[in-house]
Amino acid sequence: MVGRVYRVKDCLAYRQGTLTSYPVLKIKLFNIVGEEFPEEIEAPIDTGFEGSLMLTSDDYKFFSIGELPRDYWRRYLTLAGSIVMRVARAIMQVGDFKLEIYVEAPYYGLGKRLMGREVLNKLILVLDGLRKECCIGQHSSHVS
Amino acid sequence: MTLVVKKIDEKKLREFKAEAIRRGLTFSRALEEAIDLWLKRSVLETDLDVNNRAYLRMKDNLDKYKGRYVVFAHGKFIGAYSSLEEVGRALKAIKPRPRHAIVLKVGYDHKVERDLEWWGGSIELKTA
Repeated sequence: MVGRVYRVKDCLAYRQGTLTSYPVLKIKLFNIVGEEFPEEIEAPIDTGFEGSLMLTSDDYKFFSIGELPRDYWRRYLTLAGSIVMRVARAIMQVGDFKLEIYVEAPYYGLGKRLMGREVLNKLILVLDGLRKECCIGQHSSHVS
Repeated sequence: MTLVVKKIDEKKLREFKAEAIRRGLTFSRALEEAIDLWLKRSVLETDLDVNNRAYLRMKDNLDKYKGRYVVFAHGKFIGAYSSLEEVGRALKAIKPRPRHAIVLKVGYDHKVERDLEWWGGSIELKTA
């Protein structure tokens, strides 16, 4: 059995879905020229999404000042078929931790807010299903 | 010169003639203006298109900027920068301020050649 200690820095309550609740993370976003997106985003955690941070097409407009060329856009396979996503650079802030990420939005269609594995793999998250809380963790080596 | 065109949509042609009259133009003058607009692509192209075209023109010569951010805006190559802060300053300095720009970190941003996963897509329960 592995023994490891994580210190939780901040926790956010799960949001209620139709049947079950789901974890979300509250983040701030900045575009490439350093302007802050006008609202804090509560992005549902989606480990089934391989990409970075998906936004709605409306949200995405704020970040199109730092878009990647068309040949760097991505294509996703879903049950509804193939979806092409535009990709742009952004800065994400979680608590006091800032990192450069990609934001994505469907080229056709409205999209939705989701945090995928490309971002999740850069964070320590504790999904405490019993307490219904999603917490940002810090590794034991930082615990004093 | 005289031009004969077949199979034109009658409704569109009627609207075009009416608009030419409203603007005080002859039919031939209005057609020439429409051709000019189409050739200059000022109506049909978006910032996204012109910036991508500028990128494609330089695409094969970007290796010399490896590790740096290259920026394209208003259909032109703006420059190569070492940090995002420099990119931000360069974009803010452009007048008029672009609404769209391409920012590529050469050698760092990778093309994804295959389909990525989105398990289940956007499947959610909905109330009946």
